[in-house]
Amino acid sequence: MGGQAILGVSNLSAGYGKTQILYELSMSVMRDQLTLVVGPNGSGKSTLAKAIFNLASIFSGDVFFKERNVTKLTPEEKIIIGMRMVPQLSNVFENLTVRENLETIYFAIKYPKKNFEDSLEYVFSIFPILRDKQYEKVRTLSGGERQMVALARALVAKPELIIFDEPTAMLSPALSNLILSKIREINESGVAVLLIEQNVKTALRISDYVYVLVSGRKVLEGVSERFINNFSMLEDAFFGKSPGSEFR
Amino acid sequence: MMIDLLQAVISSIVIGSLYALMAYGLTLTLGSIRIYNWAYAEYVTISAYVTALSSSRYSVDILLCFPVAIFSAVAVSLIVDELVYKPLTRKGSTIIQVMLASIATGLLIRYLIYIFASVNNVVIIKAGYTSKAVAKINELIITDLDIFIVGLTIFMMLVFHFIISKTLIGKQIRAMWDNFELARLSGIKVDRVRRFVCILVGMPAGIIGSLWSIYSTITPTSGWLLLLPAFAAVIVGGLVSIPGAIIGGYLLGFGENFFMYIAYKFAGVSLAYKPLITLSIMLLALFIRADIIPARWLLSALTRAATHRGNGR
Amino acid sequence: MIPELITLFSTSLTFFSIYVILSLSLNLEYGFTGIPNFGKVFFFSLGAYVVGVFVPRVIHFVFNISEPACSALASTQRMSIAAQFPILSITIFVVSLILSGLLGAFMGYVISYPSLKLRGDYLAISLLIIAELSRVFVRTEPSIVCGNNGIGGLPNPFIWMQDPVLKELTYSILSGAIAGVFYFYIHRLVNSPYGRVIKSVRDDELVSQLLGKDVKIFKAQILTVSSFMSAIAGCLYAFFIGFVYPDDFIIVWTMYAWLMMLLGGVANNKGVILGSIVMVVVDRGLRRIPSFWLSLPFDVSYLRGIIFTIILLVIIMWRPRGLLPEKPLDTPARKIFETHLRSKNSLKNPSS
Repeated sequence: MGGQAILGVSNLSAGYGKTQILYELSMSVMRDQLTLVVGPNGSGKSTLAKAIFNLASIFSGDVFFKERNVTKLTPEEKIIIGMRMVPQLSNVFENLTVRENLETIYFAIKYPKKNFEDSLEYVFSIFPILRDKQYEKVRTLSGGERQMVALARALVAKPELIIFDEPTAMLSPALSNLILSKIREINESGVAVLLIEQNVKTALRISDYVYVLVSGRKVLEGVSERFINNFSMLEDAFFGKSPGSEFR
Repeated sequence: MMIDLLQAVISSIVIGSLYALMAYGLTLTLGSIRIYNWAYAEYVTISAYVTALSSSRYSVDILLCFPVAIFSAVAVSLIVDELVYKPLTRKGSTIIQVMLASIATGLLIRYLIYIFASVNNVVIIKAGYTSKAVAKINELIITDLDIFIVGLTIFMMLVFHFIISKTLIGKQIRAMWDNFELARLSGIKVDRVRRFVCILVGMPAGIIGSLWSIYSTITPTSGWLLLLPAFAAVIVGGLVSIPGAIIGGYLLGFGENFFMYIAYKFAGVSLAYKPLITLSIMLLALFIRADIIPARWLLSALTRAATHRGNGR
Repeated sequence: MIPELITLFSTSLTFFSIYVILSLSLNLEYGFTGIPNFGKVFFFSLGAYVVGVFVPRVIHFVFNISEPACSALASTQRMSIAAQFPILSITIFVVSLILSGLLGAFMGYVISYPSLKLRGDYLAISLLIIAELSRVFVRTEPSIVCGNNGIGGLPNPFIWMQDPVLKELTYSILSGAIAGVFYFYIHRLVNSPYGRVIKSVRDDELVSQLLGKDVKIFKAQILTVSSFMSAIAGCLYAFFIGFVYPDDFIIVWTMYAWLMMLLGGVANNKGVILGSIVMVVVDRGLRRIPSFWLSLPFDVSYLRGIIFTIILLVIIMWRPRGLLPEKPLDTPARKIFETHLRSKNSLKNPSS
């Protein structure tokens, strides 16, 4: 398992307002790896994504990106240094066209217009269906296509880390598999991925490392391979049967 | 009589253009920044006073007054946003709190204008420019001011449309309008875009104020009296639709002038009932929107003009 | 000296009562039921307009006065007639009160229909526009209250008293009594099961509906009651001032009501009392600034306005829910819960 961590979360306690959801959570994402975070509903997975991006209240702890402490940076600043997030809900601009959805994020980061076309090409190579629909308003697209736009937005202007917050929620199994395979494709093209998912079995197959979150605490972590054949270990962790055990 | 009717049509178009432009600014502010800007009236009043004073007291050429007035309106727009609206947005205030604050801010500015006006003895004033007739058809008079107002307002609306649909910052504004949180997550510098919107909507306020000071006499409540129908137009547009607000503006312009004239001439309705016509149009739009009057029933009586985006319900 | 102090007291008490009724009604609408009434002055003005329309016409009809109602001469005549006929003045007062209340209640009921289906902000804007545009209408249409000039000669029910100081004092006590009645009524209302329902409507309308509460009926009732109250307040105001003119009923009254409610605390009736006291003190106090203290080249009312808007802005920016918090619901379940909590805590203390 080579390489250093591109994202490090150290003793993070966070929540919303005065309500605490995450309790001293520590985890990391390695470069080139697809790291998975799973857990039952309400375990704080979404809060983790939001806290990393400073969209939730951070009570204590730090977030490191490429060894730099980015805890207090605004979301806008984080995007510029190479972090991206695809939220679970309302993750596209419905009344803008596909192309405009990509433009708004691209031009917030970079200005040279010629490179935008290169970025577009990269995006369309992963999601060819969007090429034909690029001038259509997103609200006219199907659920699966919308999700593709959401993912595509994270891909422009050379991201280094993308956090996906439950990308397959509300998608059919076939579409979920498609989206997850696209995410794997993105990871293989050199982007570190932090994937938060409910769909544990499939997600496990495409990931390198997995963390299990229960009630805002890390209860289990390890290389994904180990759990693919030993699924019951994960299930136990979900239901709190073996808290705190760690495998490396 | 025909002449009078046509004259009423002319004023309807002129006033309607002013309302439409004002409603455009209000809807844009509402959609992208989520602020009900009741203080917008005072931006208009301030510009009106600037133009009126410069042109009458200081004999500045009327066309030169416009940039100065526009500058004042934009400046006030930015100041009010920085001091009042932006802090409230940051705190996550509710819509009602924002509305209260904006009405209060408007009143505050209006009192300051009252003080200024009474100290300088200019509570009632008019710009030092008299409009000249440009076209005369059989006693129907069209003045240069009429043409200027309609031309300038429509030009501004077209410019706005271009900026919002084709330029990058326009797309960012639309993105903020569509989904504020996501806009932040997309790296859009929302504060910068916000300031741009303030500048953008400040300009028509300056123009409307200047034009109004030539068209009619100004008092400290002039802006407010223009704002009421403009907000009614915004309601007709459903609060979210710019085309709807523009149509609402013209609808109200016609309601107050053309239909008022007809009611006056044919039913002897006193001109004092003008505000009631404005109210009725606004209430009608509200009731349709709230499904109290089923829209289908109404549409079957009217021609199918695209007012809403999609079907609304 | 003493008569002046008594007059100061009477004026303050009358305005205090009017303010209390107004802000209680707003508190009922918005604080407890969540209906944002930005057109409060409209309902207030209804009560005043009833007085301005009804009272002169009745007196002119009964006494066959030939002068046009709007003239100053007619005003004087009305006042002197009323001074001679105590029963007349009191009867007119009572009938006006009833008419105002009925008109207010009716309007409140009418408004409740659109308010059910419209979102808060639609409603707020519409009510504001209704209030302002009707004022513009009344000020231009001469047949209601003589247009812009307004109408005077509206006799106080106690005008027949020889001593004007006593007249104002009696009137202020009457107003205070009416305000007191309203206060107790509202207090009982919000602390009853009915009060819990309207609070639930405020907090989550959808849930209320799912629980089987017919939100429509509750909102209609609340608006009817609160508009009834506002109109009564307007009626009291008109008789106290003796003069009704449309430009009096500007949005400032609405803002005053909101300010009082916020000062005291949203959904807190005692807070409303506090807010009204502060308002009366500041408002009447500012009116008494002798012009030689500050030689202002302009009308001191503008300065008053600036002070009030600044106070309102300060409160919205720093204490939007008001100075006093909302009192929790007083229910039997809560009493049991509190007792339980207290006994649990006393057990915890001995442990380390």
